[in-house]
Amino acid sequence: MMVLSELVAGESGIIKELKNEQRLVIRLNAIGLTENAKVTLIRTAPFGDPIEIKVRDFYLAIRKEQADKIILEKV
Amino acid sequence: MNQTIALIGNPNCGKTTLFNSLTGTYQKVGNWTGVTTEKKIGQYRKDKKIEIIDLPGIYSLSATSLDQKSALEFLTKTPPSVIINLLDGTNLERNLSLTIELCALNIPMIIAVNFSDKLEERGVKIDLNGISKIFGVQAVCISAIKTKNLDELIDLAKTTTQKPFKISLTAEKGENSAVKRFSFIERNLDKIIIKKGTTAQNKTQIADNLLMHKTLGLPIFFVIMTLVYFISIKLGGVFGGVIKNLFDDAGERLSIYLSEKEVYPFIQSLVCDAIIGALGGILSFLPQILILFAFMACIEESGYASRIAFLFDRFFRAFGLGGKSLLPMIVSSGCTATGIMSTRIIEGEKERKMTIFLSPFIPCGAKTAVFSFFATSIFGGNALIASSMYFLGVLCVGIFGRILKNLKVFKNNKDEFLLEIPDLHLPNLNDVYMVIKEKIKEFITRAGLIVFCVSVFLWLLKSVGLSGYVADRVEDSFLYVLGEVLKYAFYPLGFCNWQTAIAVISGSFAKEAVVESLCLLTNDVGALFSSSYSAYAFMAFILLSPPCVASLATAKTELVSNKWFFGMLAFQTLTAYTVAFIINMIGNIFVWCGGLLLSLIIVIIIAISLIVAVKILSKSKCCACTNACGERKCKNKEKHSTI
Repeated sequence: MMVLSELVAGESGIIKELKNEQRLVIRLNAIGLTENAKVTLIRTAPFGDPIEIKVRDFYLAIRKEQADKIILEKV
Repeated sequence: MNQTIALIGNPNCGKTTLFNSLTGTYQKVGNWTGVTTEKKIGQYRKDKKIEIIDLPGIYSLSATSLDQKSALEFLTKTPPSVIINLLDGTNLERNLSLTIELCALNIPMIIAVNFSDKLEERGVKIDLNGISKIFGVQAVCISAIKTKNLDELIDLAKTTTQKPFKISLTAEKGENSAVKRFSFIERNLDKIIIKKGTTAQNKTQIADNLLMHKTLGLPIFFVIMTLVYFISIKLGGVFGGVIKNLFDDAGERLSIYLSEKEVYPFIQSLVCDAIIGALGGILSFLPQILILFAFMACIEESGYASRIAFLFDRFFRAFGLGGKSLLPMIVSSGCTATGIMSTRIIEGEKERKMTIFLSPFIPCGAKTAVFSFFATSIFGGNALIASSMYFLGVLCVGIFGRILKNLKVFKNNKDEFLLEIPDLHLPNLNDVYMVIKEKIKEFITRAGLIVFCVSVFLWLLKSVGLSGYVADRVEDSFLYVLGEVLKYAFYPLGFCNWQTAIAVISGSFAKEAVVESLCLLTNDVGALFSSSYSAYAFMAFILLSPPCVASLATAKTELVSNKWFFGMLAFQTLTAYTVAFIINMIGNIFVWCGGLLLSLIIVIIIAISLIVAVKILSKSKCCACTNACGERKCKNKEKHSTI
């Protein structure tokens, strides 16, 4: 078990739990970041934050602060 | 009876492009999420009885954000005859989640799979029958951008009465509705996509490796932006000069002609000085602004804007803003009013308000024109002077952003940042052309209405006094009296004469009017300023003072409450006054005490800013706690680290 922001560019994981606040979980779910979804870390921004991830065939930028609360299992 | 067709789909799936093609009107499009911020209504080009409604892009009907709530409210309170659910064909998995929710509304529906051109290119095959079988409604493949299959789409929408199936989702333990929807789609996806396209790294990823590169990304951005400004200002300046000469020439000839005909001098002055002079002055800015806008449209259209937001998010957060604040600021460099309007893409309310407060500091096209006028007429064509205004603007965004961030009303800024990074594509020239066309229209109306009226009104005040038409005896005019009173307000800033006071006032209507009124009121602009630094202070004041009436009106709508609006006015006026005052003070000190003291001050400023920069950068987040509480010294260290 690890958090999303701990992935290295190119690595993937399966989401196990979203520990974000309820309001954000609803939003994350709506765009496809749900439990059991596969996420791949594409790259980090120049200042180390935010990160770009790939989920359900599209690309999304998310801040580390939020990515820290997404628990996943590395694959 | 009139039919209403509502376009619904995820953000950036091409609804607005479809809307524009169907209605033949122009609405702004951009390759980033959330360009459409309120619903737009238009009529079908080929049948005016059919009304087409473009709703803001939404991911879900159940989520909490404002535009999603308003979309749901619209659909339930005033249900349209038909829904066209537009799907991004390159990303069906996510797009279909909304489709399932729409099915529950029990409104006749058509599913339109967009980007058929991209799908073909990638070799993806989609089974439309498969979609129909699952959702119970007809489906078509279209390309909104290449206007492919659009008539078929509307024909279907006109005649269909088919309501979608109600999809019952089998719940597994602990799953919420979004998770259920996605697992339903996962189970059915291979019935829809019969052939997956090439999975190899596509062109976007290759370009992104460069554009969003950890070290190269920022230099590339600066090179692109410098080129954009350089080309706009240089090339635009050439064309602008030609236009200005044409009008000056015409004015002179007309003046000679009218004197020969012995036309009453009042009329002669009105036509030559006020009307032709004003028109020439305004139109000479047009080329610069057009070229700049064309470039900005390309940046938005191509999808590069989202990349910029990604690159700068962390940097902007140091000032209480976010990466998404950069987009309105970039747009502001063309026009503040549109910049303020585009702050709607920012989800965080406080971040959004701060961006509205700060983005007018970025010089817009009109302000740029004022600065290039000053650079040529006072600073001997020094191009550095004009561009230094950009740096001053950016610097003020940074400094005052930092100050605002610590104010109580802006504090506790826990806004999240979710930004879809869309595929890059070459800008659609048609859209860029539309932007330019709209801009010309807007510029002409602005020029015609605001700047022109201000200019004529100023001329009138200048030519008329207690004794009637005063001709060249300006000292007897109403304007002179007004300016003489107002000028003392600007005494501490180093420009204390009636002409500059009037220029500042007329600039509050439209910034271009600053140049107009200065040219109208004096023949030698340089003589108005006692020194070059007081002229620079004047430019700084114009840069930072509240934007033109058009922008203020937009800001009022966006900020809603009077309290916030007047707060913004006060903040900007105060900032402008303070900064101009400081510039003038530094200039004065320079003159009084020679270079020594100034160098001392500069050294101190550099030292302080270095210390601040180091402090900001070294402010590492609490790494001991997985909660990323963000405190420099985490009080909960023990508690958090045990989680």
